[in-house]
Amino acid sequence: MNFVTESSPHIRRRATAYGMMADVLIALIPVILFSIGYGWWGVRNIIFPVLAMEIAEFCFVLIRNKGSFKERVKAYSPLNALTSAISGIIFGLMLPATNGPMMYFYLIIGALFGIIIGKLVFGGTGSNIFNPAAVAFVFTQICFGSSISSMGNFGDGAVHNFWIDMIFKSADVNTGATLLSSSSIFASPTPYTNISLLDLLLGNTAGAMGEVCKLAILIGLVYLLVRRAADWRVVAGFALTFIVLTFIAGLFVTYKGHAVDNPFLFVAYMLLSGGVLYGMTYMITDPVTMPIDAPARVSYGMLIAVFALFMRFFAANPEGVVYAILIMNAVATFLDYAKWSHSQFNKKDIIVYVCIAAVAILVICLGVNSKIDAFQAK
Amino acid sequence: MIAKSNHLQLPKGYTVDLPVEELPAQKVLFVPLTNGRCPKGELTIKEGDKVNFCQEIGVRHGPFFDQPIFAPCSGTFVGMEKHGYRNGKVLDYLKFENDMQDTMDPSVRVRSDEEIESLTQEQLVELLKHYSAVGLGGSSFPTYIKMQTKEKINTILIDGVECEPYVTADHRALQERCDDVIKAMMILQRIFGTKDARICIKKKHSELLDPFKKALANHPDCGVTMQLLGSYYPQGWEVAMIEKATGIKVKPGTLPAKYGILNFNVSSMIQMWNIVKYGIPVMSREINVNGDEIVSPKTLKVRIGTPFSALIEACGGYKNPDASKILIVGGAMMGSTIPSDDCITTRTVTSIVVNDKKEYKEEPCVRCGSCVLSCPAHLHPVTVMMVMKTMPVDKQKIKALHPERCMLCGLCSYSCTSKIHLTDYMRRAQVIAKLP
Repeated sequence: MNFVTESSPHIRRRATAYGMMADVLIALIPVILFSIGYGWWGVRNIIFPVLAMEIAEFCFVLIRNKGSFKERVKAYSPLNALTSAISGIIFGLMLPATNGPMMYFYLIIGALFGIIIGKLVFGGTGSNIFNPAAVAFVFTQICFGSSISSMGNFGDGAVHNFWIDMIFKSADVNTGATLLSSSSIFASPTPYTNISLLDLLLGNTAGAMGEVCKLAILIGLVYLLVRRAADWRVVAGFALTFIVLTFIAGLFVTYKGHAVDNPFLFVAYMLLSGGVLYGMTYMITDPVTMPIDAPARVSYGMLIAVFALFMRFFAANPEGVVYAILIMNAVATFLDYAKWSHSQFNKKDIIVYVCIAAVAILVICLGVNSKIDAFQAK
Repeated sequence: MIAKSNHLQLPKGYTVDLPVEELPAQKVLFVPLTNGRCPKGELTIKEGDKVNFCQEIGVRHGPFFDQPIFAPCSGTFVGMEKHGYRNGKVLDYLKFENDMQDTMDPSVRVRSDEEIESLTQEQLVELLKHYSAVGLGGSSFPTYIKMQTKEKINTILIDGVECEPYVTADHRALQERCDDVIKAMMILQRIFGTKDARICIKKKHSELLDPFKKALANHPDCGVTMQLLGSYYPQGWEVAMIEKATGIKVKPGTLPAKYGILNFNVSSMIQMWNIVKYGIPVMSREINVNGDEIVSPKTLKVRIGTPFSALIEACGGYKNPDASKILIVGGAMMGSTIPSDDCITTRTVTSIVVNDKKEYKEEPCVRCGSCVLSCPAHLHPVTVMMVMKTMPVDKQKIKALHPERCMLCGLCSYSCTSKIHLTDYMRRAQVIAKLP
């Protein structure tokens, strides 16, 4: 008879961390399938960042752990492999499928920067403050953004997607400019008329290869929420705030004499263009970088939506979701501070949400109004 | 999976539907001289003395109260032996040879209904104190301290929830001895002058309503009701139970009596009825023998003092005698493991679970937040772990996280996706927070 002692509890839940990460990987499959439609350029965008991040993570695990070489290799767990693969895929999908030879270099350098500065310097898996994929993308955009653009992405020379070519006749394939600079949003007439909502939903637009096909992303989002691999509180906080704020902006855009018929159409266009859905599905739901409490998670999602919209409406950069995520990653630690963090919703949370919403609505109203006036004066 | 996980994934071998089997008293029975709450014991008998069933043979001295020791059978006191106790320590046990006669001690007498009718609070407290009645849910808190209360009592709650997986002893007791529970509750109703007395059970155990209604037919005007609470863990925790049943939030560190609530376990009620009516302390109780490694799990009615090995033998023994196992006393969530099956049944043992030992590989925390969502005390187990991992541990930070509110239900470890043993960090944090 051989009895062992251990401290309670003696049973555990079946769910595992790497199972959760595997769910994220499964949720990425529709987007990956769409990206494979770009041919080698799409596959390359996924493979190279993943390889770079895996190797960096592997070296980190080797350096960090003690013991013989075999033990160190064994310390490289499925969780390490999955998290770095997910970061790599998410980063790769945020770039356009272009055929410039320098892209290999950009992909690898961006991925390495993202995983080392975004994750490994903080202590590896689970200890990172910033989303590694977001760090990698922002680094790439700041350092090599213009060269990637000049290779003909986001427009003219973009590689055709097999799936899109199959669905649409070649004459219908859309290669128009992005909608998302503030000059496009508030210009009159807007370029919206060129692109139908169906084009946006299926991905018949130019742009980052993972972000264009909203249908694939929505399938992934549903899977994540059903499997509870993503916290619905963050997604709900983000989506609700985003929709309400764009609706208010849409009221101004509509009633100041624009091409958009009604504010609902404006909301649909804003939701379906750019990286909003992509960020909402795969980036803000990263559990490592979000706050730990349920009430704080809602305000985290709300604030990302607020910052993303501010950048989209008022900043020179056309896309703000990634920057908003990075800002809020830094703020998440502050929301977790033991003095005011609490795990149950109470009256104070409602006050916080109302305050965030009130400030955001005020800024959106004033800002959008003056923006439209400025455009009309031109 | 980021989710509140208070519905435990129950393993197979659940004994809830099996009737209670009576295990005959063993030839040799043991009674501990000391126990967890009373570290000193004194005997009034010598080796070789004849004893009667329920005879008072000594007393255990505790810091706040004394517990008399009663003989578990009639027979001969043969000497002292060392055996394991339910907390894993080795204690001195009194060994009795059973003569199978169960000759009652002359001091034991049955009280008539009129005597019970005229029982005052002081008399009841004295009685419970003399028979050393304790809470049988597992905490062994002395019952008379609860009874002594001078507060105005509005509600009497009887805890039949048993949220622990594997534990179904109270469930069986309610099915078979509901009448005694109601009678004991009627005494309390009269003494504390309230009509509001409820038996709280799990919603999924609504089949208990039938025996309850049958028993209630004998006492039409007693006002005892049965309340269905949630089926989740830890609904049996008194704070969670009171909040769900009455809506009153008991603040950490205060007794429920302050809010006008008295709460007892079902087995404690049966114990009280036996003491008041028949004058015998707990001499037998229902015990689950359960788990993956037991051949035929059963609920047994066991004489106090029976060794565990006899219980496990009665259930067919172990499936794999050579595999490494864990033997849990209590439920699988909060029970403690003991290093061998050389242990003796005491009245606070509710169940024995034998499982095979599972090794969990600890992964880095991915901050999914399941532990925070699940925590019934609304604490932050993951933050406690982070602070405990820093060296040296910052005591002020630990205190700000209030580890003392934790009652070690184990849900944080249970729900952790990275299989981190958060309850263990919480336990250590409690020790550190208590340091001067």
